[in-house]
Amino acid sequence: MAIEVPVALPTGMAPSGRPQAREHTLSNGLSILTREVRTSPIVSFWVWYRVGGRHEVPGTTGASHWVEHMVFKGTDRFPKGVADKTIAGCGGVRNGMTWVDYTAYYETMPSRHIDIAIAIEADRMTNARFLPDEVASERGVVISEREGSENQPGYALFEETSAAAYKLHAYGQPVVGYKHDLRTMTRDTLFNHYRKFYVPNNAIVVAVGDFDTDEMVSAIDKEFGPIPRGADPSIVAAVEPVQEGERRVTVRRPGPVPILSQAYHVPANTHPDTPALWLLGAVLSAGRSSRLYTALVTTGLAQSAGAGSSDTRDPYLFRVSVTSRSETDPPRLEAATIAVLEQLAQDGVTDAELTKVRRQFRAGYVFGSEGVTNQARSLGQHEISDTWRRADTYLAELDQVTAKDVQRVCATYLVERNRTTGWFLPEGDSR
Amino acid sequence: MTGPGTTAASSGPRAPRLAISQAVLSNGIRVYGYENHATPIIVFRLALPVSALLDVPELAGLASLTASGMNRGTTSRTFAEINEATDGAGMSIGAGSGRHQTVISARCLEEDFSLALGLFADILFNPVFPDQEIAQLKGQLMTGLRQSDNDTGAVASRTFRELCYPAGHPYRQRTQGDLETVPSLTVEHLREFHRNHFGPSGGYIVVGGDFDFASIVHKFDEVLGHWSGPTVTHHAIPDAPQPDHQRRDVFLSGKTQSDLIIGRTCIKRSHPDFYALRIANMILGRLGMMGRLGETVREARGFAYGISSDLDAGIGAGPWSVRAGVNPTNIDAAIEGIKEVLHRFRDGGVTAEELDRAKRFSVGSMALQLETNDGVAGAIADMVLYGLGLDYIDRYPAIVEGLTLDEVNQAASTHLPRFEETVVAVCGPPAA
Repeated sequence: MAIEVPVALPTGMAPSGRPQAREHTLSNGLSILTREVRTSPIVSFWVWYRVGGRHEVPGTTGASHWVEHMVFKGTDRFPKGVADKTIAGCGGVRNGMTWVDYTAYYETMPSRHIDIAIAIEADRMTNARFLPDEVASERGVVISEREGSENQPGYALFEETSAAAYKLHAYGQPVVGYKHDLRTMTRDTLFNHYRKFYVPNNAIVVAVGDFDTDEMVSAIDKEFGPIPRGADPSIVAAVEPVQEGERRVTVRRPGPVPILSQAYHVPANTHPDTPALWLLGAVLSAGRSSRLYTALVTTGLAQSAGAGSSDTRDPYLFRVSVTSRSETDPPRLEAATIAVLEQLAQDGVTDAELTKVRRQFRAGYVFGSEGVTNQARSLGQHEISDTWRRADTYLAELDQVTAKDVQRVCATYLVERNRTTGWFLPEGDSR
Repeated sequence: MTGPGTTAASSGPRAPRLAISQAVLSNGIRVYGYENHATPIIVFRLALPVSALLDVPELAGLASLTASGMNRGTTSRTFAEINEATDGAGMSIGAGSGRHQTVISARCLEEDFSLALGLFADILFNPVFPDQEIAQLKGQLMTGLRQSDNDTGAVASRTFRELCYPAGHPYRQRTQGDLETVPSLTVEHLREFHRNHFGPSGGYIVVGGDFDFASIVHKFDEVLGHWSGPTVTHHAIPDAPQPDHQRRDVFLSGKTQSDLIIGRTCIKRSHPDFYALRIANMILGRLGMMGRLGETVREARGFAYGISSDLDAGIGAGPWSVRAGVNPTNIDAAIEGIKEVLHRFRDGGVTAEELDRAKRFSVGSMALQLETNDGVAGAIADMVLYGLGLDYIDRYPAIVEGLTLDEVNQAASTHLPRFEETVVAVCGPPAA
């Protein structure tokens, strides 16, 4: 039985011009978000679970991601390989992904076949088999996935910098898991993780595309409605202590060029400073006219530079990442990077810069409206970190931010005592 | 200028409708357009027959660096001014040169189209390749090449091409050049290359999005229709002899995983067996968790997170290959697994059920590919580049559905090599 929750926004169109999304909740606690987009005969159907790296502890790092792999291994109703073949046979694509706050699965496919995707997703919410042989073979696969990342100098630095930035919260652990945990984790650990978090009251279904909302909600209710509500998963209570001085880490191994990674603690996505941090990231690194590009890349010090925050439930990190040019001295690059941040904190941003980055966000929003998969992903991600409504209202939030706000968040958060600095420094010859 | 007309409008029962209009500008540039009023976006790209095929060995990378350098400053705008203009509108304009073409592309909001077209034309007609900006660009390129030389996947790819193609073959070399040739490229080389090779001859524009086709053709003609320039001589892609079976290992320390590539030179896009072979390859290493290869090497044996097979059929005979990322201790076992799958596939063929599923995916997924303006523009560009005809999308379901089991299995056994006919490239850490 579906219960529609009244929505503050008027029905029809969202303030942004996209068709209005609608929200329903089944009696077992399953949240449903739908948006009719009739431009192509396609539907993107997602199930988001509120489980990810933040729910893991030493010894079980990587459990959420490994569970994601196991959920593709079949059920009694759709044995291994059958769902993949069925979706492909309908002209659809499917995948899964795991991050610190969520595990998500999707099928994007011709709308006339979408019922099969709904059935597959509802079935594997509770009926994934976790056969011991399958767990054993998948152990090699997830280790292989991790080793592919280990080959990249930037990944090694990311992992080391994250670990140094957090003393307590699980955001400091790698979502893919530490290798020893991947070698030793048992089938029962994975299965218990699955049973605990894969319940309808911990999930959000998102459907965007070519359908009638009432019919879609009815189809979802038919498949997901009989699944009983589970115990509410425990709340992550860890609160990271305030950092009181710079932390520094170094990764040395053969590699092509030095890489600098700075991480600054910033508030959770629900905090009022979040829109100003979005704009700060854009002023620093969106496009070739941005502060970091003109100061570091155009001058020949750096190969590339990026900056920005992530939308997370708990306080996370604003990262500044700079890949050096071969000939640049690392201390000089670090000093030049800090100088960019300090100048912005001291002198602020111009109205022209603010106008430019708002325009970039607006264009990005319009470009992101093209595909139903993009729109469904945006709704789900915003609902995980705060509320789906921000998928359509964030442009209005940005309009409320002043130049002073951007300067203030830079001066507040991007400071030495709140910084973790990581360096990848090549050593030896890689050949 | 030849007025616009709509060429293809009908569609099969399961294929998306794709009405493509076409026109010719005053200087002969062809324009292909697809109106899509769902979102206020316009994407457009100009393809020119200028590419690394024109590079001489001692100046390898010249075509690519010329394309990359076009937006570094014009007779009326500095690099910084171009960046301010594009960033200020949230648009992107870029140029790149590959193995067969140089493509200058733009994506903008509909309201910014005139601005985007003006910048586009300025970059195309009036690049000055400023000394300082080109020096910076070369520095970036050199660093990028060093990064590539430290990437196991990139090194394996380069090694694989060196094993597949003889010295001097255009599919052997990196289009960006290499650490030996890039330092010798000068701004004079870039200016001369642009002057001698960039012109409307053989060029075509693909435009998709929120516009009226007749109006946008008029705008293109106003801005681009007067452009004149040299005629480029097309270079044919020579056939390459099949290489001898061999394996080459390249070691990079500081790595955990090895990248493995097995394959050999295969067929051209124009080969009559292309569609049958593409379906066969889809079953072998694309569908689901990457086809039959994934079922054995990933799912049953747990050797690799990523394994797939690719058919790179282009204007010339590109390679067919299997790629996997594997722990170095499992390399030999993974190669053995791939060999088993490949031989079983060639000898036993695909089943009727597999063929039916691959056909349904191939036709049904077209709606997904054509959902965005960039997707449509890419599809139209392929139709033009490979001479498929503007009714290709309409004909495609019948082409695929008409393939028989015998045709697909014949294509697989004819064109997919036995393991003993392949070359093997491995790049990773030395085995412990």
